[in-house]
Amino acid sequence: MKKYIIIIVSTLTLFVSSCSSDYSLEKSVFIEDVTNPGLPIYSEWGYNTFGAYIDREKFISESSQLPAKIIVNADTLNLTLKGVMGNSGSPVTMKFSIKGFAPADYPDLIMLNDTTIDLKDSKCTVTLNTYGHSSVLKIITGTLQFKRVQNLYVDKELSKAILSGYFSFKTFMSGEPVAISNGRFDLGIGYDNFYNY
Amino acid sequence: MKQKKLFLLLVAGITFTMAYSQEAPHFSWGVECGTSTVNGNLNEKWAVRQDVSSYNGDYGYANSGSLNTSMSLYSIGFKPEYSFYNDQLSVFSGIRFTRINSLVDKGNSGSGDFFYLRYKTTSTSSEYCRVTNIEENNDYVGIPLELRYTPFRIDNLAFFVKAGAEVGFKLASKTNIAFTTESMNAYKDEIMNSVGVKVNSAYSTFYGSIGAKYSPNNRINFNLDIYLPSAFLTTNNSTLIIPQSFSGFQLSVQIPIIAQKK
Repeated sequence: MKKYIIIIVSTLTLFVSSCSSDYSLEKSVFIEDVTNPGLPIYSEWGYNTFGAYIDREKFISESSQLPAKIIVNADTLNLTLKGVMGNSGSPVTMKFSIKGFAPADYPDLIMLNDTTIDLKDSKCTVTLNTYGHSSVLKIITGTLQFKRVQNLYVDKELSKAILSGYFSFKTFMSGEPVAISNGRFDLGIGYDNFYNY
Repeated sequence: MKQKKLFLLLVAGITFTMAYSQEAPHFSWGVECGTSTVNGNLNEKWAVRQDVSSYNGDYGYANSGSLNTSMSLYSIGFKPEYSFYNDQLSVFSGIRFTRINSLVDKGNSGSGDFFYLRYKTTSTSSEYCRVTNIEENNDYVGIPLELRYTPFRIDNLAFFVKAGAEVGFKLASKTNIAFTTESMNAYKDEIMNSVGVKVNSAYSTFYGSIGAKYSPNNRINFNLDIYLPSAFLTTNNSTLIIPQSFSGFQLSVQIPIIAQKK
């Protein structure tokens, strides 16, 4: 009996310590890009930030919300970026959907390493959700570039996949052409924000 | 270049002083000990993941902890003195042991007491380890050469300015990485090699100080030196910190061999 209690306590201690130590990797680390004020720097550390200009307004991640989720449905990968726009901080969600790529789990994301996706391609859609209104954007031109996708090992154990890259495109919003420029992301994708169902 | 010129000027000044002094020099032997704090930044060869949000209070980003870096010099030495011109000018040399201690740890325990160090990276993978702190101790033995000018004295107290330089060689070096996971100790050498910075086997500084000498009698002198911001002439005397300048203080005791006239 005593032996079982020791095993249970040890397991719980190990579980709690592993959860708390991963917390630092979950946080967003925002380091401003001085050449693009208001946006985070481009990085490959898994800082859990993204940012872009929508015309002149900034659209960036925030620390209180999970900035990214990857949801794989059937044969489509959906990358959702959740952040705020402008000085008012109104919530905005941008979703990139890529058909024909369905990783089973987050380590498989490294297949996207050094991949550039043409957003005008019929296999891709970009959806924008603002003020509770969701619309599929008509892309004039643009790309989503996964410059580097890497598996992150912490103390020799697989912890996350880090997706780092750029995006920019031109589209229409309220019937008016709009440019989304200087987009960059550095996202840690792991157990808590990768879904395949 | 400027520091080299200053060093040459110091050597020339000492040579001139010794050659043209009209009276026999007074000789005393002494011991010293001192400590200095070094201003510097973390060597970027150590790839540390930043856990500090540096901007944007509007959207909830806030500083969550920062790295604390410190570098100190501790020295002890045997330093005879030759003094000229009624003790207005003095030349010091001898032997000095210096320990350079460098430490990197997490400054804010509120965000966890470790930081992530990246020690291996390929195009599709990166390896981090959780580190509580990194401490490095580098020991050098050196020869200091100093010139001191004492413009005035009040009773038993003399005030002086001093310029000096030191050249030394490495005796020992030790770097300790404290991992949060004990099993990572087996990879310490691999991690150290990945950083790719070696401790310099030579050590040299150029420094200036102001201070006071207290002579209660003609058998002993007590000196206090306050270092002005001074410079390293060599690099990589710490693999952790890139020094900019150092300042501190030194205490020394001189015992005249030939009794001085007061």
